[in-house]
Amino acid sequence: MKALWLIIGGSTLIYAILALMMGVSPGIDLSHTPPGPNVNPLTPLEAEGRAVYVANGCGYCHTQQVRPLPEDSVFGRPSAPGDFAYQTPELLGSERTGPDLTNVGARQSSEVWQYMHLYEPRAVMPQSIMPSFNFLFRVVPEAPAGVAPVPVPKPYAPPQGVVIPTQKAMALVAYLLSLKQPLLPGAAAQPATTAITPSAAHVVSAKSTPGPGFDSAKGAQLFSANCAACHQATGEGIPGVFPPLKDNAVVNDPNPSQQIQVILSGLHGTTIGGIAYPGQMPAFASILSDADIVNIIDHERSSWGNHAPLATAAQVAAERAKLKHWLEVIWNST
Amino acid sequence: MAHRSTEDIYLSNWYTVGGVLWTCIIAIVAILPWYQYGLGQVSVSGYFMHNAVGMWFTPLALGIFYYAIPKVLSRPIYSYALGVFAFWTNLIFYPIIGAHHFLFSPLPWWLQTTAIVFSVAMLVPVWGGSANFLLTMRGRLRYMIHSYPLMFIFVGVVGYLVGSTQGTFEAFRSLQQVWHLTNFTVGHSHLTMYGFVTFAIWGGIYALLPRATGKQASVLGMGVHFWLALVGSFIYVISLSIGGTIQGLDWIHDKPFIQSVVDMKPYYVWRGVGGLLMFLSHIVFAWNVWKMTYGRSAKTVPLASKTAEGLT
Repeated sequence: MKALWLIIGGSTLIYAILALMMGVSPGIDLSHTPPGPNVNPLTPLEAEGRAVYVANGCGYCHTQQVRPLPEDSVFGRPSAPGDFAYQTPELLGSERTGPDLTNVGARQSSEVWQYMHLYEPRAVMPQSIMPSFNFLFRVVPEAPAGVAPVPVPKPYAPPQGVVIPTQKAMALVAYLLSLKQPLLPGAAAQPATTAITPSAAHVVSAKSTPGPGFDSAKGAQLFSANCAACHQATGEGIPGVFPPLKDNAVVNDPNPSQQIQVILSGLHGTTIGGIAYPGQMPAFASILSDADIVNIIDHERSSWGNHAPLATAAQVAAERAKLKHWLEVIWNST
Repeated sequence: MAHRSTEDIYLSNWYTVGGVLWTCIIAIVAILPWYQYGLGQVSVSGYFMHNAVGMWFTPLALGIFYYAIPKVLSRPIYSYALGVFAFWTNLIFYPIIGAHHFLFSPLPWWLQTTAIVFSVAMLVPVWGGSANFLLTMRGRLRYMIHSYPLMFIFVGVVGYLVGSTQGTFEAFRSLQQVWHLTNFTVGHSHLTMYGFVTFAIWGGIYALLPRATGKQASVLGMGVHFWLALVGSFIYVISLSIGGTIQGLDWIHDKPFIQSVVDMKPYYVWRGVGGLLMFLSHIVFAWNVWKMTYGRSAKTVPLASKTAEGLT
């Protein structure tokens, strides 16, 4: 009998103490982690979207935690404790069947892209294995006033009518676009020059590459991470939604000035080959370093049959200085 | 138990009673919502994930081993003291390792390091327990071919030993850097929860249910179940372990993320093949349970009598 009480009472008491130590007390303590600088609560619409994210199990395949490891730097800066102050239920996740979404609002800031991708992931990412979330959309004969139909490409579009997002889809996209890592105090507003330091770039150029500072493997990788979602790996874009870079006059212009400016400050609306592209391209000035941008530009200038003279990091730096100058002029004149 | 007159308490009672009581504590800690917000909830999730495995499933499955192995083999457990030692070490080490699910996360670094240290300490109860089971079976393994209950239990013991040891190694930061967030983890969790816990439960049911109902499942039925489940889970775990390693290396080599999705394709197909075999085995299991309960009993000689014959 004594042994029985030892097992029942003793082990349960020990376990209760350990559960308090390892479960409850860190839980209480860490629940009081103060929000980091610029970490704000979600708006009601974004909070509604977060509930849609939870209900549809997005967190089973997508993490929301950036580890302090080199391979995670494509997803943003390492997550800080203060980033999670308003995140209940927590969505850190344990598996990356799909990419991390901590900073997806900055990486994939196009609302149109998000809608197309949710409706049919293969429409913008042919190799994607993500399920279609078309049940968050409705097919109607005509879009009601004030609602833009989702420009679903032909093979995936319904035979008739147009696709419009439901309230759930709108909330979910609002939430996804709200996922932007706030800058940490002391972090430079300029992007950290990622993998390529000037000396490394020099070594690469000294070896075999055609243009100074161009690393073709790095260029392909940066293009894939930052540009291919919209412009596609084929460089052909999606007609009427995302402009093609293949045979694009700006990309093939011997003077890279305009191409650099578009990447630095984005673009709102353009017409290429008689097809209008009304969308908004995000600005990459604060996301990509000069070395990154020159690699991307040279990748675009030497791929898909494009044969344009390659740009240099010095040209990108010059364009960045021009942009800074213009912004100062505008700032001073207001 | 309280009415028993003997001084000693069976090891299986230690584990099952402990497991049931600890599970109540896990449930309370995890369910009460008033103290877990944001990062606090992350730490409670880490606690829950590994305590559900370690203080709920593990002691109950070990309880089955400690009951069924001596019963089926008609011989006492190799070492009572070793079983008690594994019980207390499991109790003290297991609750501390939860945070190893969140290595490199914003959880406090000391919490992660403590979890790694005790993940290594877990080798003590795991190897102690496994040795106890295997030493009890020593010299009797040739009876396995006559006894599917024993085969299930043997696979369960090996699953416990291999899966838990693998878990210790996975907890190291250097290996987590490759395997964390990949499908390798999914393979590991199936090796343990399926290869260990589920096989233990099946072995226990095949060993003990006929003693309660007096009805047998057919040898063919148990054999089909066993081999489908074993081959299926083997394919499942191996394919995800290889695929997960490739995923992790793709990321480390800075390949575009979508490359890791493309590279997983054949391994997802093999996972599907393995999963299908596992699913089919479950249907056969349902049929076997039917035979052992409401259906017509198969004419099978219970192992115990066979073993006894072999001994005499």
